[in-house]
This record gives sequence, structure tokens and C-alpha cells, in this order.
Amino acid sequence: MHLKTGAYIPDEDHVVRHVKWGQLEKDCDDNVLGILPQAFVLRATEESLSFNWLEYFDGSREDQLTNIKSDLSTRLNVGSKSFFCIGNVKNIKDKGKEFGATSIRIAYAPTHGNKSHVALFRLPDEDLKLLEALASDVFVERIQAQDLP
Amino acid sequence: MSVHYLSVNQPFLSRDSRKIEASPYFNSSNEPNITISSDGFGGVSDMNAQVFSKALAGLAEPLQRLASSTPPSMLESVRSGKPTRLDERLYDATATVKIKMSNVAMHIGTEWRDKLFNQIDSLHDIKEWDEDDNPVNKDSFGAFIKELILLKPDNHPGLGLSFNGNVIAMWRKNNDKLIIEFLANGKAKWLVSHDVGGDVERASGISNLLRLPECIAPYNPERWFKK
Repeated sequence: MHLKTGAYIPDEDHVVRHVKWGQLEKDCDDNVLGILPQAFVLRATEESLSFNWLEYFDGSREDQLTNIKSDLSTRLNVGSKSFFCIGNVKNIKDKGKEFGATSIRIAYAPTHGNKSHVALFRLPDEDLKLLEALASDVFVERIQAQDLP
Repeated sequence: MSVHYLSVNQPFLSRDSRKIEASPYFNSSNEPNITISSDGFGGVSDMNAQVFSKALAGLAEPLQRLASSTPPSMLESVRSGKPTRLDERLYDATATVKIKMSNVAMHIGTEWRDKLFNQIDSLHDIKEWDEDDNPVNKDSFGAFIKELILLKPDNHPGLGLSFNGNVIAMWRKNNDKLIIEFLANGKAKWLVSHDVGGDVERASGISNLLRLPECIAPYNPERWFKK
């Protein structure tokens, strides 16, 4: 399926967040336990949080994630220890509402070389409780980059 | 007494009139003349000050470089405002926090210090980094070490980094989590997550480092800290 730039991603679809090694929850021996809430904090230069639209690509989950990894690799370093974390669009919005964030918008925003790029707007990223809930309850499907081709 | 000095091609402050005058001590080609003065100590002192200040001006930058606490590999970055190479930034940040840690090694113990060194090396693994990522902020790391000494946990925390280089310490017991982000301004953002039969209760706040133990006390932090 393809959408116009700026169109909202359908509720039943999924978005993928690339989470770097530093933003993963780990024990003292560096075993990965999950995602830190800080993985959903905006950088100072960002106006929206970046994701990739999983269903933009056809094929199996692995095919879709491999395509996303390939696109991201053209503009940033996808470290082997980083993770791709998948969340359902409706679950993200519902979790936001649970914490009072009723106006979260998830829109298709392709960029040069990253054609499945999605922008998430109006996430109150100072609310650690909401971010932790997203990390623990919504982005529960996770695949390590080194496990993808 | 006759005093010799080198006159330079610049205005000077007259001893008597205390006003700026054009120096008579340069030629038509704009080159300095060498002249001899015998007009007394006061005038000599004023003139010498000018001569030495001119001579010292060239030394100011090298002297400042020597006195600077900034590591030599960071000087170009400081001067130009542009980041140096990623591997240099990571190396400098790692060295800085390890030195900081060595200063308090007596409070931490060798085993834990070695583990922390490994965790820092792992966080700064260049294979996981991009140019626009920020390595560990030394003030945040200092706050983290202070809090560790204050809390004295038996269980060592996992470590993470925020996008702006703040240290994040985390403990987990079953599904219950304690996450603390140490800010560079001496405060800490904390989050407690407690699983009560499938319902997750969460609490969070921002506290002064000294108040942090009291702020998390109601959430029974011993479950994370004690063996």
C-alpha cells in the first residue's frame, strides 16, 4: 500500500523504531532486557520522532525489516547491537490517550533515500511514564540488527 | 640613568599629558625605529608596558593552550566550534570518565570499577555510533558516581545513554524497574515501574541528587539494590 506524503498511517499498520545500543535497557553484564523510555525522546534538532512504516514493504516480517535496515544504512550507522522495535499504530495512540496525550499524529513523511519514513508528532516526550509504557507495553516485538541480513 | 627601549609603530600614552598621541618612532615606510630614551622611570614604565604587551600578545594563545584543561585533541573543536573526529571524541570522553572514576576508586572497589570501565567501553563502542551522537557527559557521569557512593547498592546497575550524553542507570527485579537519568545540572530524572499482578504502576520525578534516596524510598528500592 502507498500513501501520499502527510497522510496518516492506518491504525492496523505498524511502525518501526531503530533503537541504538545506548538506549537499550540492559543489566550490568550488558544483557538486553528491553528499551529505555529515553529511546522515544526527541533530539534537540528534531520536530518529530522518526519511525519507519513496516507495511510500506511487501513480504515477510524479515523482508520488511531488511528493507528498512537497508534504507536506514544509507544515512546512518546501523550498529549490529542495535534493535528494530515494532509497534502497532492504534496501540501507540491508545497508550498516548491513557496518559492524556490525545493528539498524537503518525504521518507518512518519506525523505530522500528513506522512502518508508514516518513522523510521529505531538508526543509529550517529557512524560517518562508514557515513554516507559510505550517501551514496555507497545514496542514489544524486537529484532536485533545483527539477526537481519 | 639611561634606559633603552624599542619603540613600536602604534600610538602611545604620553607620560605627562596622559592622552593618546601618534608615535613619532616609526619611519615613512611604516617600519619601527630603534630609539633611545632617558626621560625618567615613569615614561619608561609606560612605554615598556606597551612594548611588552605587544611582545606578549603573540605568546597569549600558546600560553592559554598550555594552561587549558581542554585535552589537546579537543582544541580544534573548541576553536572552530566543529566536532572533531568521532573516534577522538569517544576516546577523550572515555578517558575523562575513567580518570574521574579512578579519583573515587576507594569508594567503589576494584571489581565494580572494572565492571564500570567495561560498561563505558561498551557504551562507547564506535561500531554502534554515528557522528551526531553525544558521548558520556562528564558532569552527568560525575553525578552518577556521587549517587552510587550515596546509595551503595549491592547490585550493579545496567548503563545507558540519553541522546545528549546523560548517563542512565537501570535496575530490574522481575518486571519491576528503577531507571535514573543523571542530568548535567546535578539533578536526576527517575522512574519506578511496579508490576502488581499484571497491572503496572508507574511513578516518576526530577530530584536533587541528595534528595533522590528519599524520593524513591516509598517504592522499596532495596528490592533493586540489595542482593
